Amino acid sequence: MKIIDAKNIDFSYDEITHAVKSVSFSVERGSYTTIIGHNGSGKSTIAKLLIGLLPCDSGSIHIDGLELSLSNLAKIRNKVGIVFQNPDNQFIGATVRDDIAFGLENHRIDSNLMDDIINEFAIKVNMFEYLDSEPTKLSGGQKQRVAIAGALAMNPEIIIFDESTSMLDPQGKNEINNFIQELHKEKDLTILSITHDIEEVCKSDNVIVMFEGKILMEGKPCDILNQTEKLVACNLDIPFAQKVVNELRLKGISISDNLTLESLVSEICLLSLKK
Amino acid sequence: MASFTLGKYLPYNSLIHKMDPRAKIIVMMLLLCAIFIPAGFIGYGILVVIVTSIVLVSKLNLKFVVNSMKPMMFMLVFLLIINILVIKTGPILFSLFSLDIYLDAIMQTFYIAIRLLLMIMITTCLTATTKPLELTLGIEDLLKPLKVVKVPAHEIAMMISIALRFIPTLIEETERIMKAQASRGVDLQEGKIKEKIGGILSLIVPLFVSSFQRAEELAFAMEARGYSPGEIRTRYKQLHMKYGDYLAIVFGVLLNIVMLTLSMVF
Ligand SMILES: Nc1ncnc2c1ncn2[C@@H]1O[C@H](COP(=O)(O)OP(=O)(O)O)[C@@H](O)[C@H]1O
Ligand SMILES: [Mg+2]
Repeated sequence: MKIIDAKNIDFSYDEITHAVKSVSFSVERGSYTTIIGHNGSGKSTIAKLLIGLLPCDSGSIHIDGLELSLSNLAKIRNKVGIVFQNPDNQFIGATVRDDIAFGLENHRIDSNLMDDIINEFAIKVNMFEYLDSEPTKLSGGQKQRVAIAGALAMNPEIIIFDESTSMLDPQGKNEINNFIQELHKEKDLTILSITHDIEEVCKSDNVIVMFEGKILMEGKPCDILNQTEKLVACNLDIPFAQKVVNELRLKGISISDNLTLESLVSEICLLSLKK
Repeated sequence: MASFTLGKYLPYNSLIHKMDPRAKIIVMMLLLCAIFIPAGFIGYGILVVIVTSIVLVSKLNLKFVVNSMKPMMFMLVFLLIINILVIKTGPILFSLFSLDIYLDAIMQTFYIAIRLLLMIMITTCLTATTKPLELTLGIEDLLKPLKVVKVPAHEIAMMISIALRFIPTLIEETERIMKAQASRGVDLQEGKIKEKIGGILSLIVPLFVSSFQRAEELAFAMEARGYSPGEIRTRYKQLHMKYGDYLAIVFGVLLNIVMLTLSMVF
């Protein structure tokens, strides 16, 4: 079942920047979809269109069967949470506790119930000990976990991550990526992740490749990521394993496409056994 | 930025810390009112005793509070000179190089100094014992009646709390830009006025650009999480006025009455 259904959406910031050009795509309920594309290809704009932060110039968006319109905005935002790139610019409260409460206050949750909800999600993202900490005392990864807790506390069906790990150090990146994977496994949460991390793309169910405001390719990562020339032509990275496969082929070794190192290693082992 | 102590919250555990922020703001206003009632020597004596004991009950360091008067010294000396030259009433105290110095000139200056000191003590006491967030909640509640005349109480409080939240972030950012510009040869410490202005511009322009960027992203983040100004929302931190809070307000009102009576008697 489709939970996100976007048809022919168009968006321009002004006369010259036509950021999204007639884009159509859909996302299955409970799937993990990634969006890749060069800087300025319109990925963030799509994310903002999906939760109605920006209005489409034309085309339609349906979330869980509901058409995105001004009158449905509040309902749609109940279903979709988003975590942005900059950890500092989405931390609104004075402390972790207040920040998680911010969304609850907006959704008019009774204040007596808030403490339990805050505790539950703080434990979930492993930030319980930091509930009374101020943002300046937290690392980028910790702030992003608070942002995730804030989004989860709204009980969304979809969470959009807009390059949420790109400003983090490698450790923070890993931590958040693993957490998103776990989250996807344990709940039937639909995840739409805008990313530059090609290893994350390999693990996803579906990938959308954006180029200059349009969708260039869409499909299973294994079908997309082996189209090396096309990816390189639009300034995108290819997985390390695929790079190795390409180099081996140049050397005349016949080997199938591989996205993960493990499968590559086992295939190379098999090849050497056959010799 | 360690020198930025005026208006800083100090997390001690005292009776004053536990008071309701609304009561604290009201009492502060009442005390400020009382200071400006000219109740003579006795009046100021009473006020000094009361305010000093409030500071002590808050477990604040009295020396620290009085020290914040230091920047004011220059102004007071200046005021003293003007008063000596202008005020020619009351008994003559003594003569300095054929200039008569009157008692009233000295007393006026002294009163102003006491008022300033008391004002600083009271406001420091409020900000040092109340978390910024609670202070804004208090302000929001106290401004609520003004909604009738279209004062956006909640929006004002939200703006203050976001401003407070971003002060440390912007300080961090300023330091980062300063280092970045210093590594490009901008010298903010030395040089001629013209160079200094150039240096400050090279700091302010990027700071403004990044602040606007932040503001835009923050607005998106707030909206995405369901915030919409003017809409009804619940509140996580509930304020509760207790018996002691009402008592403090009554006490503040009484103090004003006493001061008024004193000023009429003398
Ligand atoms: N607020 C804005 N005003 C004008 N143009 C913008 C704005 N935000 C983004 N753009 C432009 O829209 C295009 C798409 O941007 P964006 O969606 O942020 O790309 P991505 O997230 O893929 O890097 C870019 O050309 C960018 O310069
Ligand atoms: Mg982007």
